[in-house]
This record gives sequence, structure tokens and C-alpha cells, in this order.
Amino acid sequence: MNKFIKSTAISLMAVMMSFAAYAEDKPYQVVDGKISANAVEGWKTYNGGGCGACHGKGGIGAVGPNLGNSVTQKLSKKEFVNIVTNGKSGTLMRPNKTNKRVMDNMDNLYAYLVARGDDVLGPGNLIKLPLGK
Amino acid sequence: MSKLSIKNCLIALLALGLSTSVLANDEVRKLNENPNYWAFPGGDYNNWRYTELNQINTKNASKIVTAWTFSTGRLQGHEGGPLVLPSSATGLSGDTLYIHSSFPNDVFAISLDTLEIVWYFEPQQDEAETVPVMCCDIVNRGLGYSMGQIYLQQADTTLVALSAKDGSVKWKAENGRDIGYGPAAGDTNTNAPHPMKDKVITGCSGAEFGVRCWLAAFNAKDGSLAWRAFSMGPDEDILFDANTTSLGKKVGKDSSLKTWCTNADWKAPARGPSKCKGLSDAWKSGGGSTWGWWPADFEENLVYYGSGNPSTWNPVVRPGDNKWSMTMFARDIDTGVARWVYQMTPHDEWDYDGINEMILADIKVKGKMTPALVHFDRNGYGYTMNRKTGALLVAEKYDPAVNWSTHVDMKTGYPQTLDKYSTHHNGEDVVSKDVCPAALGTKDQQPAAFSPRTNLFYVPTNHVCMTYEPVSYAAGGNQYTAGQAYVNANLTMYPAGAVCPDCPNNNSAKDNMGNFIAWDAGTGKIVWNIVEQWSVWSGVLATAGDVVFYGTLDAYAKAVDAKSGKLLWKFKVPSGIIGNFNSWAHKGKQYVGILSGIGGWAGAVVAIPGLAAAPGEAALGAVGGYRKLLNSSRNSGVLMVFSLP
Repeated sequence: MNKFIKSTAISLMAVMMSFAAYAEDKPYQVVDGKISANAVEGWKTYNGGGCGACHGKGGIGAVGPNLGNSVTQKLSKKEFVNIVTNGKSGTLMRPNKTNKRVMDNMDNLYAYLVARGDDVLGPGNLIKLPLGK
Repeated sequence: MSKLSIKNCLIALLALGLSTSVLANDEVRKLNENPNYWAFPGGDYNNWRYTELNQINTKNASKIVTAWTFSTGRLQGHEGGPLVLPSSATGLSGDTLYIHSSFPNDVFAISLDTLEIVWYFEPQQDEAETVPVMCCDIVNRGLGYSMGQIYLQQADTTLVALSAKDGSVKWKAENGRDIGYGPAAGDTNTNAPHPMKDKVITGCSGAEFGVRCWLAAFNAKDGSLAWRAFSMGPDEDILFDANTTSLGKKVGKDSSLKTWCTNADWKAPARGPSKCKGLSDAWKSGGGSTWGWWPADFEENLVYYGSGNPSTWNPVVRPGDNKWSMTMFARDIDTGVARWVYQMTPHDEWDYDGINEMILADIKVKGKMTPALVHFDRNGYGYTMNRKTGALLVAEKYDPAVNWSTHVDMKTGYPQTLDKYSTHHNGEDVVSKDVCPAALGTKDQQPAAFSPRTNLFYVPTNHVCMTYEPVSYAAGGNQYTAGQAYVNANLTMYPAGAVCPDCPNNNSAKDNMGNFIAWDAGTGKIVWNIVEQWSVWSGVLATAGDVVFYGTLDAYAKAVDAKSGKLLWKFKVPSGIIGNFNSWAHKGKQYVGILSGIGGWAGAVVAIPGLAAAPGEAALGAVGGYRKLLNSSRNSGVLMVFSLP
């Protein structure tokens, strides 16, 4: 199935079991099929931060790279925080150090993008998703 | 002092003012008429980007070689191009070339006799405050000249006049902080200053941060503000009077305020005039940036420019036409008062900024000689207007892939938008698919050229489509907060061939993202086109040798025949080209200069390490195509200068 059009709910259902065993190591939690609220807050931060103008819906990648893959395959959390905070020299990635909403929600944003990279969440709307703790 | 003497003084002052104005104007116009120099960003006040030099011609262009090069020492995207001025203008011995860099906007004066740096200027700007709020790369589009001064519009909104002779600061002016904007409010600058008469015209960037933008004129002699005209708001802010017209009709009082509605039942898309049931104050964070290339008609005393997108990118929260975003303006150079306006994309739903260059030319339009203004808009239409009256004469698609609307209604001026591509009609948090062009437009700011020998316009274009999802507040969209991103949309972009496989100017692989076209503005038709793999993001140069120069993102400088488009020469430069080709002569030899330094919106991915390993799903976006650029180019900041051997 095309990941781009895959519904968030289906994606969540499909993988929640496999991740339940070591979910505690993750920045998000999936318990009883519910995603933790911090990842949903991260999704809202992503949408409000203007990230999707370059990185596409759900960080899928557009002018900027795929962020789910970046945080799960290429960047440590420290590196992620550094790039979001200070930008990336020689690229279009701007610093967000003056963006209070992004800075206040850095952990949530990271949790959301790791969940995207783990394929726990699809790129879609999380408004109606049942929330865990 | 007697009344008589006061009157005499006033007359004398008036005469002095007029003479200063006329002198400054005459000086730059004379320099523009001399093809040995390049004194205005667009080459002349018509914005033709054309040189009368013909040493390089269709017969010998294949022999072009690199004459010399210069690195700015900066590695971000380099837009704009050099100015070249004589000793009579600069006070220096010999001819001097002036070139700029991306942030922090260094300026260099280079002697064309010795190729040594005569002086340099390194602005002190607050990087931590400024860079985070420059939405789409930290580019700068170059310098302006008049009255012995080089003008630099710094990213941090400070306008600076430098002595052309020694680089000393003659004056500085605030272009934003003086009214509570500036970088802290998301207000920055990327445009080149445009000296006209005794003024320096400059603009504003920041629609992605909800800045209510403007065009401003500063007095060249001391940097004092002459006028500032906002893109939206009350008449006294937008400098409209009782005689301001749109398509020949007076716009009347409060023409902007009446188009920012409160009613949620306002029906999108905007296919014709509508009325609000209630008025909102969303215009206060309404955007409408101004960062293009602006010509002047001195017979009419008018400067022409376009305004950008309304804020925010989610159109659902700003019902109404959102005037005068997305608008062509003709304003009096001395007073700023608008003579005529025309809104190209009422109630924008796609980020089709109207900022692109305006070009003035007397051409045959549908068989009749016309004082025309030609404009290639981001929305995919090539417009031909009567520049004196503002009459709409031609509006035709200059890429067959353009699909968001079927045509422009020539009586009302409204594009006839299809519901399926209306992101407002489809709603918040809904992905509208296969909208063409993409947000970066069928063309962005990279300026086209006009040749009076062929009467054709040479246009660098994009061939890219997109998905566009307006983000609701419930889904995390930002309310307007000064200095914070006010975008609220998610986008992906991909080659137009995926949407329009049968478009006649696609290549066989159907994955090209650019075309270079020759355009007949009198009929609104493509005369010839060259398929390019990547968006063509360079400014164009046309010459009296019937050679047209342009550059590509995969780092080729190219020369083609103005009449046929036949490739005459190409040369691999250090980095992708997003700068403008300019030409001058020194000691009897014609030179062509271009900045090589990829960046900007389209070229951004080149500089992102690791992107080549992006997974397949990313191919749905532009990454899939653009990442191949990594095989062609890396960052740079080099002025390349070419000539015959």
C-alpha cells in the first residue's frame, strides 16, 4: 500500500503490537492501541511551525528531507535538537531558536517524528486518533 | 524675512530639488544607454536585461572562454548580478565592478583594470535575529547605483548608501524597524534597491511571518523616507486616491479593507467580484511582500511592481479577495500614489506570489503597437497590460501544465478556478492533489529578458506541480504572533509530467522540471522552448548579437540562438546557477558575468548531506527529482566572467 495515502489508524493498528514490547525506550508510547499525547502535540507543532512548507505533510520530504527517516536512521536526538535550534549551515534549514512554540515542544516534535520514522504513525490527521497517556 | 524672499527661497529650493532629481535620473539613464556599463539591476529602466553589445554573436559564441573568476567567500545561494560603472560615476580610476554576496551581504568593488579588490564592505548584522526568519534561503539580489552611491538593502532591513569611491557609509535608513517591524517581527529583505530619480525604491519580505508588507522610497541624498505604500489596509496606508483604477474603473474608497471578510460562508474559489458580510482585521497581518525587479516609465512618472501572497497560506481563515495581495501596482515615483492596480490571483490558495519582474516594451499586441507591460506570474499566466492605462490585453498560460484555472476572464480579470484545485473549496486538513504549478510558480523571481531585435521575451520557467494541504488551527496551525512562522500549510512538489504526461514541452522521460521558452507577448504564445531537467532559476540576458544566456541548477552556463533556441555554447561552472547574467565591455572586449552558487527554494536540497539515501516515499515530493542534483553541484559563491578568447 502506498505509504502516502495510508491512513493513520491503519498504520497504527498494523504496527502497535511489534512496538509494544519496547515502547518504553521510545520517546512516544503506544498502549492499548493508543498513541501518547506528546506525539500528537508534536504533530501540531510540526504543522504550526511551518515545517511542512519544506518537509511536506507529516515530514514525508519535499524540498527538505524526510524527517521520520532522519531521526530514526541518521540523527541522534542531540543532533536533531541542534539542527532544529540552530539551523544547518549551507542549507535552507533555518534556526528555530526564536520560535518559542517549536523550542517549547522540541521533545514532542521529536516524539512525533520518531513515531513517523518507526511507521507507527502515518502522515495524516491525528485529531481523531484515540489518545493514550 | 519678507514674504517675497521666502517665496524666492521656496522656488530656489524647489528648483534645486527638481534639478537634483533630474540629474540623478539622467545620470543613471545615460549609463544605461552606454552598453559598456550595467548600472541598474535590470540593465535599463525597462528591465529588458538586454545589451547592445554584439561582439559575442551566434557565429562565434561557441568559442566563449572563462576570462576571470571571483569568490565571494560565502557558500549560500547567490542571486542577482554585478553592476559595472565608469570612473565618472565612481570617482575611481578606470571601470569598477560591484558584486554582493548572500548573507551577511558583503559588497566588493573590483577594479576591471587590475582585478584587485578596491574596497569591501562587511555589514554587521544580527545573524541570530535575522537568519531564522528568512523563509527561503539567505539570498540577496544585488546592488543599486545613483549619485556616486552604491545602495545595499541588508537582510536585517537596514538600507545602506555607500560611497562608490571608497565604500564609506554615507547614510543608513531603517526599512521596517521604524514602524515596529524588522527581523524581530519576521520582516527581512532580499531585494535589490532600485534607484529612480532622486529616490531609492526598496521592498519587504515576510509574508510567511504575517508581515504587512510595502514598497518604500527613500531620498537618495540623505536616506530620509519619502513615502511608504502598504500592500493592504486603509487608503491612507496603501496610498490610493480617488483616481486609482483597476481595469479602467475607479476602485473607490476602502478598496482593500472591503475584501477581508469574516463570513465563513464566503464562497471559494474567487471567480468574480464578491462582497463581505462582515469585515475582519486580518489585513493587519496580511503579507503581500515585494521582492522583485521593478522598472520605471518616466513619461508617466510611474514605477511598476507586484505584491506577494496574503498571509497565512491557509486560505480558509481569510475569506475575501484579500486585496491588494497578488497585485500589479503602477505608482507615482515621487508620491507613491497608485495610478492603477490589477489583482492577478484574488484570494490566493496556492502561494502564487505576484512579485515577479515587470518588463516594459512597446510591442505589437494583437496587431496594434502598444505601450506594454509584460509580466510572467507565479500563477502560470503571462500577462500583457497597457502600462499607461492598466488595461488587461493578454493573459495566457506560459506552461501547458498550468491547471488550477481554465483561463482569465478578460472583462473581470478573475482567473476561472476549478473546484478540484481550490484548496479552500476542498477544505482545511485536506490534501489537494496535482495542482499545477507548484507554490514556487511557473516562474519565480529569476527575471526574464526582452530583445528588441526579435521582439521576444526569454523566460526561465518551472514545470512542477504539488499537493497542498491548508492546516487548521485544530491541527496545530499558528495564530498570528509577530516573528513566528505563519504558514499553516503542508506541501509536496514533483515534476509536472506526472500530472500532464502529454504536455507538448515535456521530454521523453516526462520528468523534467523546467523549460526555457521564447514568448510572444503580443499573442501570448510560446515561440520555441528548450526542455530542461531542472527548474530554470537564472536571470536571462539577451544581446544584440542575437545570443541569449541562461544558467541551470545542474551548473551549466548556456548560450542559445535568440531566433531558434539552438544551443551555441555551454560550460560547467562550480555550482548551480540562480544568479542573473549581466554584460559589459572593458577595453573593447565584451564580457558576460554570472554568479554561480546554488540555493534558493528549488536548489535547497543540494546542500543537504544524506539526502541521496532518502527512501522511495520521498520520491513523491520534489526530493525524488531534485536529489539527483547532488551528482551535479555543491554550494559555491563565485562570479564567473566569460568572453571570447
